[in-house]
Amino acid sequence: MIKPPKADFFGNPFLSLYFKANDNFCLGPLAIDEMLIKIINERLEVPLIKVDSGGSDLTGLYTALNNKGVVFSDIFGDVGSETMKQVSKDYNVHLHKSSNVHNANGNNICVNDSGGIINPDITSPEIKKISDVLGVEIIPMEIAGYKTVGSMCMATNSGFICHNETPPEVIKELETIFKVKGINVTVNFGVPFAGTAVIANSNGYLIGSESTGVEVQRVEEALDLMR
Amino acid sequence: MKYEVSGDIKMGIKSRKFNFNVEANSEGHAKTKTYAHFGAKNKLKKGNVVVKNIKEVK
Repeated sequence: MIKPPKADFFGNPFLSLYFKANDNFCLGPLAIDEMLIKIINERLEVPLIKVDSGGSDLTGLYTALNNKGVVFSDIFGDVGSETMKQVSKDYNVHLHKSSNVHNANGNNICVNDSGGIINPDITSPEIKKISDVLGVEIIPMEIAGYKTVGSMCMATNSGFICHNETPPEVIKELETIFKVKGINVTVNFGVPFAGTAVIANSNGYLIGSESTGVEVQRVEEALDLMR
Repeated sequence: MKYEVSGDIKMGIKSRKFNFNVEANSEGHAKTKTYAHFGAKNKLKKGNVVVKNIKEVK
């Protein structure tokens, strides 16, 4: 029997706070459920790299990435920064250590290999740096009245999901930015913040364990992973 | 030195296997840091964390 792609991090179903993945690797915290390591390797088909995010488990929250680059927070200590440098060498990705006051990059940036969106409160020079590192044009915008677009939206190279109250015209705008199709969804039994509970890449996805069957189906449809 | 600590944690009626990479001076220090980590992050008492294996990572 095929198991649904649901998982949690020691009981917490908001997976994207802890993990961020691209098509080549997945970043996660130092302490992980062994079963979750297996699930990530199987579902996303990428290795898990443990990063020390300044003593915190919230590696996904402090990181934004696509296949070209990684933006991580200055909260990462020396050990975490060293790990990121090693990742940069191994997988040939650009790195940027963000020292902006808005340093929860996972909450503030949503990006794939075609485009990205960012919290409009972040300064233009910082957006320019992030844009250079990620190799795509990054557009400041709000989704459903929230500036933290990273937690509202999650994009891969095959699709995107966004906040449940995103107006249709904004979804169309996002489709032109990410150059893939997407829909509005809820996760974890009605939570509208789509970016907080899903980790995904072009190979597969994982969703928070509280999500219902309908939510799983909509996420699968949005990310074009119905197989 | 870096250590990889593995074992079980008891969360309610569930028991889960964990894998924790930690920087420490000795195996004892790594064990203490593991208890501290799960105490701080998951509010688990020492009795609910069973360390089964500690190995040095090079």
